[in-house]
Formats: sequence, C-alpha cells, structure tokens
Amino acid sequence: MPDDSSEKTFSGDQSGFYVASSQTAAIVNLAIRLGRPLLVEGEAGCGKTRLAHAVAKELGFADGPLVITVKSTSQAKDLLYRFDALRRLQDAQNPKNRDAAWVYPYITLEPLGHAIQQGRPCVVLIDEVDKADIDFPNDLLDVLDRFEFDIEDLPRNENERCAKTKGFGRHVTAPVDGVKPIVIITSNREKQLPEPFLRRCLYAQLDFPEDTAILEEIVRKNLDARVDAVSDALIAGAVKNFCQVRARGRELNMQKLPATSELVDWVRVLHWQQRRAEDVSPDSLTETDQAVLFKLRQDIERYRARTADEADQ
Amino acid sequence: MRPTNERPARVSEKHRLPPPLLGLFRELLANGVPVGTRDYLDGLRALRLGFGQGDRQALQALALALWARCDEERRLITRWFDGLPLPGQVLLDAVDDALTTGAAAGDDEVAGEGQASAAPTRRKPDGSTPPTGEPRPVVPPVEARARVSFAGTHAGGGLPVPRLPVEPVIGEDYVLHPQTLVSLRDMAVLWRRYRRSTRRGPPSELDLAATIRERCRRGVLAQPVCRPRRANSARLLVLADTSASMDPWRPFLATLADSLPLGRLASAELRYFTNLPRRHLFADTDFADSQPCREVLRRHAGAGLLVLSDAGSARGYLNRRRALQTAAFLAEAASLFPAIVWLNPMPRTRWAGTTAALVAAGANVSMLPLDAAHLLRAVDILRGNK
Repeated sequence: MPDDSSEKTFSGDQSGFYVASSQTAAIVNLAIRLGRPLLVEGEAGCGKTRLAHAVAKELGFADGPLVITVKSTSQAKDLLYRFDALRRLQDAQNPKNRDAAWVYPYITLEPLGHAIQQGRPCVVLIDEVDKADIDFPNDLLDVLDRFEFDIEDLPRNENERCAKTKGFGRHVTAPVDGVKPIVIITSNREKQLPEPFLRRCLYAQLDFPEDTAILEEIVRKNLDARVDAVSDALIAGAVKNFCQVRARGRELNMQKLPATSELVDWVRVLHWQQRRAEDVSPDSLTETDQAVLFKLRQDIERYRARTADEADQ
Repeated sequence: MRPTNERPARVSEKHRLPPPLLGLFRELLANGVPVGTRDYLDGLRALRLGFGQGDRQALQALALALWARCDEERRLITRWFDGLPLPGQVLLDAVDDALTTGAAAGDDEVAGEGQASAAPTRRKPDGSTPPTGEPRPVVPPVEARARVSFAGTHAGGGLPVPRLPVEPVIGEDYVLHPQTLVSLRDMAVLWRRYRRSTRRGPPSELDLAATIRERCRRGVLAQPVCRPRRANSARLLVLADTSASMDPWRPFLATLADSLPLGRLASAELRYFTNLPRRHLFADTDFADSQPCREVLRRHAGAGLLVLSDAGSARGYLNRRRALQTAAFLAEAASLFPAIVWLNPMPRTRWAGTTAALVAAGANVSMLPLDAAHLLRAVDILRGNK
C-alpha cells in the first residue's frame, strides 16, 4: 500500500485552535510521509491530545480524529474488532434466527480496524497508551508495523461469506489503492514503553512554550469564539503572571506544574470575574486562582507557604 | 512517492559517495543504540522526500526525530554533529567577519571592539588586546561549559546527588544515568512468570460447555452459565536487607518495590530488615510501620519467600551469632513457606567463610547471585521447579 497519497502538509497553526512549533510540525509531517505512528509525550496539559485534533482539522478530515481512549483493561484486540458473543447466544435462543449459526454477523470492526480496512486517509488517536497494561504496546507492534491484522474469532470457513456481506475477511488489509491511517499515540510516561515499540514510532516531545508571544497566541486561539471580548492587556498580563507562577512552581519542585490548559482556563476565569491584569499578581493568588492553577494539595500548600515567607521578608 | 523513484541512481562503483548519515548511523550502532537497517532506510527516504534539507540544523533535527528515543541517544547525535568540521561557507563567513572586524579596528579601536563581540565567533570580551589587521584563527562557536547532574533516580535511590559548586570548563554535558540491574519492565515481566492460575471470585466468565450442556438438558436456556475467571493465585513475600552493606543495591530494591504491583500477583508484599530478619520487619527503608516478624510470616504462609541480603558476605567473616539467628529464622520460615530463595548480590566467591556459605549449603533454601539470569531461576524455584 502506498504510504500516503495526499501531498498535504501540517503547518501547525492553520487549525484555528492549535499552535504547534515548527519542529513538532516537521516531525508530524515526517511521520505522515514515512507512514509511521507518532508517539507524543510531554507534560500533562500541553496539548498532546489536541495535536491529533489539529492535524485532522488541518488536513481536512471533517470528522476529526478517530479517538481510542485506552483504559487499564484495554487489549490490543479491542482496537481492531469486537465479537459480540452474548448477542449471538441470545439470538441462538430464537429458532427462527438463522444468523446465530454463524459467527461473522456478530463481528464488528473497531476504530483502528475500521480505519485500516477503509484505507482512506484519516487520523487515529490512541490516547494515553501508558494507562494500559505493559503488554498492550507489544501486542500493537505488528498491527502498527504492517497495518493489517487477523480476526482470530472468525472461523476460517466463514472467511468468504464474511467478505461478501461485510466487506472484510479473516485477514483485514487496506484496499490496493488505500493509504495508511495517520496514527498518533499519546503517553504520560506513567509506564515505561517497550523498546521495540519506541523504535517503531517517531517521537515528538511537546514542551511548555517559553515564548510569551506564542503563549498569548495559544490563549487567544483557545478562548472559544468570544475572543474580542477579552482584552489583549488581560491576556498579556495573565501570561506574564502565569510564567512567574510557573517559574516559582519549578523552584518549589511542584509535582504538577500548571501548563497551557491551566493558563487558558485561568484567563477564562479572570475574564468571567472581570478582573484586570493589574489586579493579578503571583504573590496574591485568590482561592479560585489556586484551584484553577494547581492540581495537588501539597503543591498549593507549598506555594502558599512560599508566598507567605516572601511577604514576611 | 513511488518505489521506482526511490531507487538510488546507478553510479559507477568508483565514484560512489558513501550514503548520507552512514557515519552517524554506525556511530549509533557502535554505541549500542538498537537501530536497524529499516531505520536507516527510513532516514534515506525522508531525505529524498525533502526532510532535513537546507542546513545542518535541519539535518540534525531529522536525525534526532528518526533515531533518538532517549536523552542519551539525543546527546550522541548532537555530539556527532558538533564534531563535524564547519561547512565551507560558515568558515568563509567567519574569516570575512574577522577581516572586516580587523579593518574596522584599524580605523577605530572602540568600534572594532563592539563588532568583535557581535561576531559569530562569540569571543568573550575578556580584556584581550583589540584585534589587529591580521586575520585571526577561527574559533568554532562552542561555549565551554559543563553540567553534572543525575537523571531521575528512583525514589529511595539512596545515593546523594552530587552538585558542583562552580562550573568547570569542559565543553560537554555529562549526565550520569543510574543503571539498574534489571529494568522495571523486565522485573514486571519476570513476576508475571510467577503464575499459579486458578478460578476464583464471583462467576463472571461465560462457561460455554456448561451452557450448551444446560441447553441440551432442558431444551431451553434461562440464562447462560457462568464460572469464575481464571486469576493468578501466586503469592509472594519479599524480605529485603537495607543495612549499609546493601547500599549499592538500593536502586535495585526501589525498582523491585515499583515492579511488584505490576506483576499481577494475587498478593505481594515487600518488607525490610537490617542485617538479618529478627523480631520486627518494616514497611519501608525508613523503618516505619514495624510488624512482628512471626506475624508477617504467618500471614503469608504458603506463599513464595524471596530474601534479598548479602548475609554477611560483604563483611567477609563469620559472625557466629548472626549465623545462628539466620539458621533459626530459616528453620521457622521453612515450616511455613514451600519455596524459599535467597538472592545474594555479592559475588559467589565472597560467600565462603560467611553466613552466606552456610545458608547456601542449607537444604531448605536456594541461594543465588543477583543478576537477570538468576532472577529468572529464582522465579522458577518459587513456582515449584526445584
């Protein structure tokens, strides 16, 4: 199967709600052109998941990415197909129902399996892969390598019948002129991923942008439609204060530093409360500010103790 | 791109240049980075597709994106690019700059100094003599600096993190990576080998055979027959020594502690002691939550017992009291645990003449050195394959 027929490239800032650095955009394009999955890592709240949405939007896939949220009980098979054994059992109770004699009517393709079988360009997002069991990435290796798989629950003698009615057989591959889906995998590094899996993927690390201009742009793009209602001065002031809070948080070795998603929320809250940029300072954060910016009790306490110390001095 | 376009142009053997980035790729292989031919071919394909073109930075970014998966590998690639000779144009520009700076300095010394500091050679204004008309040797733009830090050690890693008061002048970043004997992943996989699969708990899995039997017997099926799921019923108690002689293996103990919850064992507990398990066992290395040794052993009776200690072999002499107490402990443990493995991190040659040799010679306990192969053996013994 050809790697990618579309000549579209991801520029990183055309989606209207996302700003990707040029390096990230280059790696995304590389992954698309080489047909390799892209593993995205970075702090929580830095836009790993939204990167997939931005790629889908920019490349013009109206339905957005196919999102597969990984759970601790997820198995690689669940991404590809589902066999509804219970419904078959129920149907078997009814002697008039002939379907239950076969397995294939009870097999449906799940998002990744569907994307592979369709062979149309699309973005598949496998979100938070590190939440799954440590075997999960290994089981996915082969599928992500060759973009084909076998439906093991389907008996071999039903292969042709299934292909005729459902459009896929026991061995699912893309059509001859199909393209590989763009697979984006996010991870929070809760578990170490296996080395062979890392080698199969291209790797992008999303860091918190240090440039205030970029931060302001990110805030503006994420404030929904009513951008003009929020003044530039408020955004600029909030970004400046936020950077100071973050720097202080880093000094305090906080477990969860506030990231871009917290920044956007904070600007929203400041706007709702009709506060001005001059009224906000990292030394006198209100209860709401702290609730928006920090996620852990010990982080809040550390921050409070530090600001109190500084006030005493 | 079609495969036909990707085939390299046929050039006669004599004039063929080495393929691009081959040197870097070989460097990575030589340093044990697990990259394969396929990764290299992907690199060539990316180059043909137009990635990494333009300047050296772009090429470096491409190499990093394709082949680097951790900080160490990133450093290797960056270092390889830093070691390349400067491209011709950059050299010429630098010479030109030096010449113009020199010429300007001839006219006006003050202006010359200002330009010199702005030149791309990044010469520090160190109070040296102002540049003269002669072209200077070009200094590559490398800043002398060094940073020594430890990449994320495990909690309870034990070793203090050295910090240098001043930065010494070395043109290199040094990051010391803690190397564990066995990685967290491998440990978790290891525990999963320790299985005793039984059906336990509420009936939640469809028992197909029983359901069909029921259907045949009654002619109609009221509800499917379920049975409990298969689950691992293997239990494990780990007793680890945290005395000073075990300090070098603290990171390993931390990895072990982290890996136990990933092992899908029915129950796994890690308890600590110093020197040898006496009356009390502790929940962590700071000796919190002490529990009577006997109680802990009773609670885990029937499980596998894994002991991690040097058994006096770090000291290298026999302590009669220690030997007797250890023997008493093992006698009690043997009555409660079907399989006991003692992992001794000290090399086998050091065991002679210490408590370790006595334990190793004992009938109830297998004493093994601590490495990946013997960990596997230890799990085998715990499973019952003595």
